[in-house]
Amino acid sequence: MIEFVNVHYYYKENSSLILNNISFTINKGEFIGIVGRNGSGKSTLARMFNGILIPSKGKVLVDGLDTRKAEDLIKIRRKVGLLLPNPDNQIVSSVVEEDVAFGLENLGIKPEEIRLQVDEALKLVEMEEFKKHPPYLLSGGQKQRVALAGILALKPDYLVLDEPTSMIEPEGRKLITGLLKQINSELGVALIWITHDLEEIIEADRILVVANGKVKEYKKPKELLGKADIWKEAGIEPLAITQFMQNLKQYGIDFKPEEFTVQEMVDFLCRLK
Amino acid sequence: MPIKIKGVTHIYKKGTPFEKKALEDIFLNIENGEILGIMGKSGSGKSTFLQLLNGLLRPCRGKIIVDDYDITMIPADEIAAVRREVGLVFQFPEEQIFETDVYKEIAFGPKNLGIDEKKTFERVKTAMKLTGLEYVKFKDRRPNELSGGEKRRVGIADILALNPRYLLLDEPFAALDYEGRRKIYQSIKELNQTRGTTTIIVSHNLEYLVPVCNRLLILADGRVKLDIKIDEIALYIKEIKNLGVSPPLHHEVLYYLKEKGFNINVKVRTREEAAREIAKYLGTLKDEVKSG
Repeated sequence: MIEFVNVHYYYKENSSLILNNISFTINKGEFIGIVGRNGSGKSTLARMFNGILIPSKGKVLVDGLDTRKAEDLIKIRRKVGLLLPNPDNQIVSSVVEEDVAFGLENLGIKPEEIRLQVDEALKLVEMEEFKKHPPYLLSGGQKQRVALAGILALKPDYLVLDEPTSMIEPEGRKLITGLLKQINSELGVALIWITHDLEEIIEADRILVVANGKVKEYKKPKELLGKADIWKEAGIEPLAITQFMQNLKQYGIDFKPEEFTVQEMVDFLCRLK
Repeated sequence: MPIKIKGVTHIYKKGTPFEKKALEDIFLNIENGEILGIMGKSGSGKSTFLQLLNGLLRPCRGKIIVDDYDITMIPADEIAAVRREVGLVFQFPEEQIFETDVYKEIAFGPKNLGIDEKKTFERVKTAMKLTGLEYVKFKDRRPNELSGGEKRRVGIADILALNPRYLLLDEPFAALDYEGRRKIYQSIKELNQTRGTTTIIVSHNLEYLVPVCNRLLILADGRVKLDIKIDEIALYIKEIKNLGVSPPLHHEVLYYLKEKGFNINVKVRTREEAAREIAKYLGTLKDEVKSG
C-alpha cells in the first residue's frame, strides 16, 4: 500500500504550494488514474512516489517505508518504478539489452540472473527481437517499451506512469496502453497512471482528480465520467461522448447515463424518431 | 499568393539500399488564408511535407511554388529567406528553448536577423500578444518555470517573431490539455484574421483539427488520399476510417443517423452544430435556442 499523508510541497519557504495537503492511499494491484491541468501538480506528485522529491511537510509511505528516510530509499525505488513521458530522458545505454540490464547491474545481481530477467522483461514488452539494436534507431513507442522493460526487470510492485504515451506516435500508443493494462491484470503490478486522456484510464479502479495542488475527487470512473462539469473545472477534456450528450441536452434531447457507446447513442436517437 | 505543389516526390537515401519513398507525386494548391489540417499515420509523409514547404528538404522531383518563386530552385545560401516567409514550428518546440527569460528567448530570432532593438521589442510584444502570453506578466519569467502549455506558446512565439506569412505547425497540440489547446486555437485564428496567415497544421488527432481548420488532407503511403472541406467529414466517414483515422464522434453519429434514414443536414463542423441539426430533425429544438 502507498499512503500519502498530508503531503505539502513548495520550492521555497513561503512560496506558493505546489501540493497542498494531499492525502490518499493506493492498494497493491490497483489501477489508479491521475488527471489534472498542466501546472496542477501532477508531475510533482509523480516524483513523490519513489522519493525523487520529498514532501516539504507530511509523508509518503510505501508498504510502510518512509521516502524521507535515506535508508528506506533503495528499497522504495525497487518497489516503485517511474516511467517518464520522453523515453530519450530515460534510456542510457547504446544497446537495448544493456539498457534494460542497467538497473539490475547497479543492484549487483549475478550476470546469469540478469540475463534471465532482461530477456523476460523484453519479452513482456514485445521487444525481444530488438535486443541487440541501438535505441536511437527505434521509434518513440519502441523506445518507450525499452524504458518500460528496464523498470519491469526490477520487478516493481507499483508502476508510476507520468503521461507515458504523450510523446509517442498513435500506433505505438495503443500498443503501450494495452501492455500496461496487461501488466496490471496479469502480473498484479499496481498502475498509477497520469494522463490528459480519459480514454486511457476509463478502466481504472479509481481516478484521482488534482486541481491547484489538492485532491478534488478520488472515485470510480463510472461515478465521474458522465459529469462534464468536474472535467471542465479540472481543465480536462471530458470524453467526446459526454460532451456530445451535453450538447444534445442543451437542445432538449436527454440521455440516460447508460447510453455510452456511439451505437447505443445512435439507437437511442433512432427510437426518438 | 497561394502555395502550389506540382508533382512532388521525395525519396530518402535515394540510390542506397535504405531508399525510402516518403512522398509520391503530390499535386496541391493551398489558397491564401487557408487553415489546412494534415493527418496520417506515422511514416505517411506528414513531417516530410512540412519540411519540403520551408526548404529544409528539397524534393527529388517536382516544384513547390511559394509567392511565385519555385523554392526548389533557390540556391542554398538564399534559402534562409524562404524559412522566414514560411515559419515552421517543430514538434515540442519548447525543447529548443535555451534563453534565460521569455523576452530574450523570443527576441533571439529577430535580433539574429539584424533587426534593431526597437523593432525587435515591437515584434516580441506582438508575438506574445498573439500567443496569449501577457507581456508584463511573462517577459521576465524563466522558461523552465512555465507550464507545458505556456512553454509551447513561447516556442510558437519564437517563430511568429520572424513575421512569417505562412505558418507550419507540426503536432502543436501534442501533450497539451484542453485549455492549452484552446489558447493555441485562438492564436491561429487571430493570426489568420488579422494577418491572413495561411496555416498548415499536422496532427494525429482529427478532433484537435476540427475546431480550427477549414480543409482536411489525409496522407497515406506518401500520397494524398483524401482532400475535403472540414464540414464534409460526416460524408466521408467510411473513407476516413479506412485510412486508419478515427473520425470525430459527432460526425460519426451523424453518418449513422443518415444511414438509418434521418433526412438530416450533416455538413457541420462542431459538436454544437451537429446537436442542433439532430434536434431540428427530431423537433426538440426549443424556441429560445432556435433564434440563437
